[in-house]
Amino acid sequence: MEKLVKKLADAITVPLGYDSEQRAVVQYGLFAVIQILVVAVIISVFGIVAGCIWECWISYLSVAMLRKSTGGAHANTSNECLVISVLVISLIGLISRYFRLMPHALLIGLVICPVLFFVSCLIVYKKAPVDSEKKPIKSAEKIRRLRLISLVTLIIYALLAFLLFAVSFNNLIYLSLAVSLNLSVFWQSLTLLMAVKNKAVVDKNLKKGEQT
Amino acid sequence: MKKYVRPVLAVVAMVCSFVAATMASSACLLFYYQPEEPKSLQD
Repeated sequence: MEKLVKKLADAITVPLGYDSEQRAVVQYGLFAVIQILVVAVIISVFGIVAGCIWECWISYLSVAMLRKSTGGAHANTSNECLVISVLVISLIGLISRYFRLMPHALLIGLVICPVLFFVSCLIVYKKAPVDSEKKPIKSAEKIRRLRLISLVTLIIYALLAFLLFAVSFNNLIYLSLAVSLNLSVFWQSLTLLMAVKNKAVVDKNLKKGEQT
Repeated sequence: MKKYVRPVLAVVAMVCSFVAATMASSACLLFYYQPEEPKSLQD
């Protein structure tokens, strides 16, 4: 996907006479746009086919919006990223869709989801934001701002989940949406832990390399 | 038709630059791959 984005960015910027830095900025933005659109199209098609489009979209939006401020583990290539994104969102959509068919689904949801959400909040509070090698976050002000945005996002999600659970007593369709939201937040908090672990391993190897 | 190509490309480039700037202020891109960030967008 990166090669395609590079070709497209060249096709856009060469006729406009942009320099290499301006081209890099356009390429970066174009990559984000294409990534967002491709994942949206694939999960929409999957959602329509599997009958869980709303659950997939709740998962897609909640993961993306939370990830923007928390950061998290990254794939090594853009294609790997595409596969992981589509697989995880589709899986969360499917689990959420068929969760409500379980006996005592509402009761189980009411017990498990708040626990998952609470654990996720703790992880986000302790670890967010997690930077990466390619995008280090150095400024203390930015770290504070991203942490605050993460917590505000979680509060909004909590209110939304509460509302969805409240209306689930009348219609179990909303239970699927609440479960989808909770699973997405939990998955995103797990990717934070993975990122922290990967970073610790990389730092340790770097230190070892410096000592030898 | 040809006279519209440059303005259209300029609008596309502007939208992409805007998205890039928005992503630069966040912790990472929305999904699980982070390409190298352009120097002008770094902290």
